[in-house]
Amino acid sequence: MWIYEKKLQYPAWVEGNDLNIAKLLYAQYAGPDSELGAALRYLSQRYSMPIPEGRAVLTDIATEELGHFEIIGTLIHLLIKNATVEELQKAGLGATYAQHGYDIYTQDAGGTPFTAAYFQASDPISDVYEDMAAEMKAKTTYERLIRSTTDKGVIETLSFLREREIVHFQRFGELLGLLEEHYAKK
Amino acid sequence: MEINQNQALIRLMSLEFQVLEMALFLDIHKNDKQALATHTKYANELAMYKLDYQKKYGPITIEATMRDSWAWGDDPWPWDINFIGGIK
Repeated sequence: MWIYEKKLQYPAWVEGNDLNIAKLLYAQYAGPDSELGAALRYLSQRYSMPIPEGRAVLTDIATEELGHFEIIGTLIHLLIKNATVEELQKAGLGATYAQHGYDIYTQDAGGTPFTAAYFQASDPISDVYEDMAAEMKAKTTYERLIRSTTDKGVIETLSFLREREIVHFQRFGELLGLLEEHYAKK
Repeated sequence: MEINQNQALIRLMSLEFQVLEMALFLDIHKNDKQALATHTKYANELAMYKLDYQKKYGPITIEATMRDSWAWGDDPWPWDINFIGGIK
């Protein structure tokens, strides 16, 4: 189970002068390489994981990704909460506003709703390869988002999230080594 | 200097983050004694700081005991706070 902690993992902030980045941030909220996709991917892959190191790291990284999902949601919320309908429309969020108001919906930057088709849970070795690829793709997406805004707060917050992808990639790489040892012994 | 609630919250986040980072490392390197000692140090600091924080500013989890009234729903919620200027 999970117990909610009433705080973010990182002190997210925005200057608030770049409403255009709000729409793009949806990429990492619920897009193909998003935090939501990562969390659900890792949680779904735990059941067939044969070694304790894998069960532990999938659980803990999935939990951290849920925290990142909340950070991205918070950035979007802080950016849009005081915007007028006209400003939202100019920032490409007219359709999102019409359908979801000021709530943060699980969609990608183009408005496509989240789908579990973004990830696979199959067998431990190929799962971990997918996880490493997912972390790299998320890192690349963060780099593109950072290049897409001038908001210092958004840039600083996304830079933290980008670094986390690198740490997770490292841990999954180590897990892959342990898994290969595990299967070689059998 | 007295620190305000946001600064205390940042301190809490930072301790929690150090515990998480050590946990992810130990998940894979579970026999690393030095990492285990570092985790213990941060985990003890975090537990104490979280107790103090909650006494002063209100519950971080529903497991916190609340003296006078049910304060769980009180503002601010995490998405309400804009940590302008970041960690500095």
